[in-house]
Amino acid sequence: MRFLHSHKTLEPEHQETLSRSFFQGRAGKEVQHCIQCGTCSGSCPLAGEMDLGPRRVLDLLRDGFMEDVLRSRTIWLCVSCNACLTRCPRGIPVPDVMYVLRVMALEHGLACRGYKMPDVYQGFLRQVEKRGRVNESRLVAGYGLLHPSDMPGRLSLALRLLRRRRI
Amino acid sequence: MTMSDGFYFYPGCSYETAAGYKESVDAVCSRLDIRLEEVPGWNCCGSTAGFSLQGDYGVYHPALVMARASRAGAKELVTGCNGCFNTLRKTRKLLLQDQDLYARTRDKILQEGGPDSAPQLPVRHLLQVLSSRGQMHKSPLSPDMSGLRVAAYYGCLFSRPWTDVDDPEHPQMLDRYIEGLGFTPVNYSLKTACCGAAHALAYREQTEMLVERIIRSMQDKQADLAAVICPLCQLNLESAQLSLGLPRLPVLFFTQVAGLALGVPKKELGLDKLLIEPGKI
Repeated sequence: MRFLHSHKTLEPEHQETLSRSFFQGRAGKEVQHCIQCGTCSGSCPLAGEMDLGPRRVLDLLRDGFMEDVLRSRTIWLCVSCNACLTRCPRGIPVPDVMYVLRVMALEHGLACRGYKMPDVYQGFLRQVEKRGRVNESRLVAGYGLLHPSDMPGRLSLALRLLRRRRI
Repeated sequence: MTMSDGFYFYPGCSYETAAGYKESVDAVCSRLDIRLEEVPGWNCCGSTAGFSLQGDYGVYHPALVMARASRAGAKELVTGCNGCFNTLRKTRKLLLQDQDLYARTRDKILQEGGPDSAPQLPVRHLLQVLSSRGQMHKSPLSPDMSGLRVAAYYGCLFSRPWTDVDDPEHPQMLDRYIEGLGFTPVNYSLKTACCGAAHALAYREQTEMLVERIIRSMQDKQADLAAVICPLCQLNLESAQLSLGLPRLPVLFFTQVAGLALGVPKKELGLDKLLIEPGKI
């Protein structure tokens, strides 16, 4: 029963297919050049909050552990600040790696609900597709319906913004 | 001198609600005789959400922005948001280097009745535009104003890869601009540290920690205020200070700072919309 803890659901062949498709893409090709120096993890502002650092993500990818990577919180915590890309001696676009992995994780239902950013991005893009533009108040409200426990802390900010006619 | 008509402004979704950004851009540009024509019928650039959910096809929305601007007659696209700026510059690069991506994006836009795409359209940040006319606002400041120590905050996306407009680790453009206005720029170490961007919504505690480091780094060097070039940076830097109860440092848009130097009445600069009032000025 202890094995259930690992939540593995992808067949090995499936992982191989995903891995192949990842390495055929623009970002995947670049990952092949990684020298595992760890500059990315050392530069990442949120590495301390991640389950895997970016360096480990790249390492696991090359070793074919697609599911571990796709289920990780790391791929959703990346803020796309490009600090890693700025400093990477091999010029690997790590944020783009995270984007490809996000798309895959959602496609295969591997993104945990607690990671929250999928809801932010989906709510955001839904507005873009429906209205062409994003209304921030609407975005926050939509997110709040899905994650009400995050809202109390935002309420005082909303009131302050309201008072200054910013929303 | 009036800018030629080929100069189109892309406000982005956060511009309107940003604390006095629009007010100060309008005030400063009108005094410098810079005409900012808004891109007609502009759409959201999709930001990181587009890339996160569509991979490289996230270029669709920014490509549509460029196509719309180009159809309207734009020779150059200008934005005042780091997120939009990076997304547009990145899209431009990807479309120019990847024929297949370009063809698919172009076809999709055309199929939906959109304009033909324009990947060559130059994209600039408003800071670049105002910096290039720095000489025009050299007016002597009053002693109490010129003594103001201003921390230039670039945020993470202005100078990092994809934009290539300034040194990625030690950008100077905003510092030189502030200096040119007559204020004293502050040398501190976290000018390009990330403010947390959209993660502030879902990961508030983690991103507030990032802002705390940035603000403390400014205050350690006796900054009187911070000057920013992006609406989301402004909101994150300001709001985290309040919720963390930090000693307050006002966070102004660089155009508000420019307006002060140009002698624009404070009322016209939207300073009353800031959450942290700039008491000293």
